[in-house]
Amino acid sequence: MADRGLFWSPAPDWQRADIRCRDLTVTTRSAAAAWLVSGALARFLEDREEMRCHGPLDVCDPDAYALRLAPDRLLLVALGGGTANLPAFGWSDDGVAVTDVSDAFVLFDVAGRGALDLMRLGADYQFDAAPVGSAESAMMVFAGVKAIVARMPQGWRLHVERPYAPALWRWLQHAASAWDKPPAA
Amino acid sequence: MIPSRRMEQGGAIDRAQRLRFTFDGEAYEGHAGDTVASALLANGVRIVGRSFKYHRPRGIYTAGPEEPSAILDLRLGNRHDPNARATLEPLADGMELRSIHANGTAENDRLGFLDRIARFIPAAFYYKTFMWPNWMAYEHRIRALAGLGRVDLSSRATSAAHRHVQADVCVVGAGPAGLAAALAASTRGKRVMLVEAQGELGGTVLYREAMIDGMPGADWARQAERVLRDRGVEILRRSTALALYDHNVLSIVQKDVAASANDERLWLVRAGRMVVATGAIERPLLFANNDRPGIMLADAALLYTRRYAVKVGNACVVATGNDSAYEVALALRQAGSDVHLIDSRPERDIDPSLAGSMRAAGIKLVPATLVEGAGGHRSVEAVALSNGQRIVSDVVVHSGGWTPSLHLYCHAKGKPSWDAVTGSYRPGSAVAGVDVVGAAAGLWDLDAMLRNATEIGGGKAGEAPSSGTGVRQWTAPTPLPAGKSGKRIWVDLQNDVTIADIKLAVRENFSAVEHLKRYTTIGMGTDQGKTSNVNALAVLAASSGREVAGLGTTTFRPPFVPVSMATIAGSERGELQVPIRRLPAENIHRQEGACFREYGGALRPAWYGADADAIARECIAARGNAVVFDASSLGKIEVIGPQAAALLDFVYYTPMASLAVGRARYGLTLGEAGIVADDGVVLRLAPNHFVVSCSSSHVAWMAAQHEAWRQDRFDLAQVFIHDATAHWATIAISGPASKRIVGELGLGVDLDDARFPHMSVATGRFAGRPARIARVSFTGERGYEIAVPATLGAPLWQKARAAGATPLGIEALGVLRAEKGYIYVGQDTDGETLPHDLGMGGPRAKRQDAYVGDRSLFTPAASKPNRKRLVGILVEGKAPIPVGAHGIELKDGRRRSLGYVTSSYWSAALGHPIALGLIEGGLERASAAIELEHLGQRFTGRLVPPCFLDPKGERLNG
Repeated sequence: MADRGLFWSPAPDWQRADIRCRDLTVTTRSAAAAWLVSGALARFLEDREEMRCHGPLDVCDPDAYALRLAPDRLLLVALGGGTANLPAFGWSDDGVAVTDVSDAFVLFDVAGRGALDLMRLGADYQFDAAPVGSAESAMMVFAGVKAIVARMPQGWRLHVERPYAPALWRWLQHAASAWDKPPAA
Repeated sequence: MIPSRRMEQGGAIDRAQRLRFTFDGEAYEGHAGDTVASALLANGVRIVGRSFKYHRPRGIYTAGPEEPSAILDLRLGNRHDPNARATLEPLADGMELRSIHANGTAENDRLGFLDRIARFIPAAFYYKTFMWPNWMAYEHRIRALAGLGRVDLSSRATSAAHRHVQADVCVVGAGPAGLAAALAASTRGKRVMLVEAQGELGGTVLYREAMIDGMPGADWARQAERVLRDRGVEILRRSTALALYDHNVLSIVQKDVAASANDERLWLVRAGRMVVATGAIERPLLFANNDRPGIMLADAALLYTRRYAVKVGNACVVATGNDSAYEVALALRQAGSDVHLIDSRPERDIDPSLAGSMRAAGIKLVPATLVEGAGGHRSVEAVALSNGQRIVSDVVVHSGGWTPSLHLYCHAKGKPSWDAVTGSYRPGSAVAGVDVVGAAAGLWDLDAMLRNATEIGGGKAGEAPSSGTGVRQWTAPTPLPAGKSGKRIWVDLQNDVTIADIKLAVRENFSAVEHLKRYTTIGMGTDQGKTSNVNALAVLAASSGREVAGLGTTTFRPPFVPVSMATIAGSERGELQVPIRRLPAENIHRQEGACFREYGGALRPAWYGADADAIARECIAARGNAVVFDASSLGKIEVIGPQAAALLDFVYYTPMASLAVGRARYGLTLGEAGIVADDGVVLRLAPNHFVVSCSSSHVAWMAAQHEAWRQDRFDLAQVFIHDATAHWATIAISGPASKRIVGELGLGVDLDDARFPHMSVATGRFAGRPARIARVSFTGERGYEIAVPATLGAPLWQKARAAGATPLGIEALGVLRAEKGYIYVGQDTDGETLPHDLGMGGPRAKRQDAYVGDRSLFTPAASKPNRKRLVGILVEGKAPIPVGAHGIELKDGRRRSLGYVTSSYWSAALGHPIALGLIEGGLERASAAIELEHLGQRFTGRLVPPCFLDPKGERLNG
């Protein structure tokens, strides 16, 4: 019986996986903490003024942000560690459900002058449009896999579920092959 | 040596750059800036291919995407294009070109004799002749005679990812009208995109005489491009619009996306407004032998003369019935050719200034005359005129008028209307969001075009560029040949269709336009009748005594030009075609020597090691010691909230609300038809917090089911569904030694059987992070499933291995669970299996409340006693029976299927083969003996309960 592990490339070492081209970089990150929060979000956000819910066009603070996934669901991400004032996992009397998804996503930061062109290869979406408010879901199909997209000061951050991260990584490598490599040091 | 036809001066080619190429094995040279077609013409190559059906010699006929004949096999490095259009392909150094229809070379085609028997194989010959025994008996031989290029599977095809763009206005075509529309639209702050098929913007003004805003047309076009770029307009060159779909989604094929390769990329543009400025296509004149090499459309001849400095002929006949070819005649004369200009119009209908300028240039103008036929065997040598005159000529260029290119407009469901004055279709009904400008809109006066396009682009008429070019009779209906010449007159060069073929179709009553197309194949092929359709309609109308306006058109279908399947696929190939889920500890399994396979959309270890006994060895380890199995792809769907228990009670066939905190329960979910959809284990972590551990392949479906039912019948503020599968790595440890091994992992959980019995769940810690430990079993042995954050999956696996657990792959797991009669939903069930068919009729009998699929379990069909039920099957002998083998009974000498084998293995623990199956009546059949058959092979078996090992379940605590 054929070993299909020969067809599928091994998953990269996420600690070292990056793409560097002349006008494009893709760097891999892991969230220190991430949570799915569903329920009474208006009250939840009201009690936590430091949090603002972002759609895919709003520019986020790269270190900590909340992304709208659905009318009653958001994803909280913190790269630097935990967020204070978060209810315990499970059901809270505040009317929210909280689930730890800190290891669920691999994050790809797409930056550089070619970042928008690369994003255009992945989805039929106007990534550089003006923000329309946080009501829009940041979840979309990007390069054939489900991804959550956040706009960052230097480009975009793709959050992809870990089981599909090697697939998106291969796609990013393939798409970025159209960009020139940087000159050798 | 063929004399070069390259003129010493002129053209837009780079004479300093010489490019070498071959055609049919002969070496030639061209220049940067040449197309393949211009380079072949410059080298005096007349015959570039053979016709599709009759293998007649054919030459270059046009200069654009409408080319019916000059289609070549192109190789360049790793690139291979079996059907490259010579007229569109930029010449590159090292190109190897071959003609595609010839058996041999285009010059010497061994199948050229077919033309001599043409009278015996007219249109529809195939349909009438190859009927017995059936078409397929002949098809492969006929295709070997015809057909286009052959795909080389070893060649490297393009794999560029599709690009998505959104724009307020997308202008297709960068001729004068397209540029004017883009200029007007871009001044108003709109996001504008401009798409041009050629490498340079400007369209016809690049080679026809035009002054715009006081400068030559080519200069004006270059200035317009600079302005557009400054305004941020996205300009795609060498990009052809293929199709316009609903909601103004335009697909475009772009050539040369990378400097290193002649790659193609598909663009998908979503535009608020689409401006179609695709120009017009010249119509041929119809005369005998009008397909001979050396005969080409007039505008193409002008382009080759002025842009590529090719002297197309020494003695040229220009045949026309409109003004547009007069500039061509003049250019040919200026190139040094002897030129006869044959105009079907009488002298009084010809602009006197035009006629005067022709004569002043030494052109012999012959009014009120038609070209009746071309003479010459392998290429044109002379023409015969309707006035009886014969002119020796090596080139005939002709123009029967112009046809607006309305393909995109028609893709958008626009209805063209017939214009009898010009003999062409123009845009008719308005299409929301789509505007047609320039020649595509049937405008032929340059000033009118520029004004109209500017207004369409949002500008005022006064802002339009100005040309000052007067109105001329640019196009007119194509004059049809009179009488019977006895020679063939070609309407469709690509499909070898003549006027006689159309008349034959009419005689046989295939006179509707769609019937005509299918009877004769006219308008089919890779050029889609761009040069033939309107002439075919004119001939059809004349042959059937009708008006063209009443005939209608065939359907304009995408793509406008051929596009390779590889381009449509883009990057979706190989690993990128269907993404598959990967285990967090995959690379550890690779190091362990795992052989992988795809199971339920996830890449998982099938077994470990290369030896033939790997599966049996893993089975023995599971029953004798302990195994470790990566179950990370199993679902971990959290159901949270005060109504979580009620939701699970509804979604599950097995009641879940009664599950105690800290306990786990196996259960089935059904579809609304009562069919078993999934099985899995539900864990209760807290009164309002459950985890659904469903099958790996059903995670997305189960999450969607829970969400759908939540939104359908529960309080949206009281229950929520979180799919947290990706967060967790799940490592299952099973076997008599599993308790010891789990103890050595240091999870901080009391594993005492009294406090942590089978089907319990507890929370511990691993490497400083939460770990969830569930005491469940896939194998029938004592078992623990340990879920840790995904990044800890590999360390946990390694620690279990270090403690003595043997790695277990999916194949051995299949054996172990079959020994216990544990089902795989989808393998041991089918599209009819109800829960009581599996021996799980308890909830059906006892539950009084509503749950998914409940009513379907009580239909007469669901209650039949002879339903197929899960059974164990023991067969005689040592070899497992094939999966899919049917249980059979003989009735009146005929076999009847009783059901089939669903799982079958050699059991190392039992020392004999075992099988599970779905058999009518199950164990309640009158006889336990059963005959089985697979592909003619018979087996004898015995039906037994599906659990072969440890029916009391004592090993769960072993």
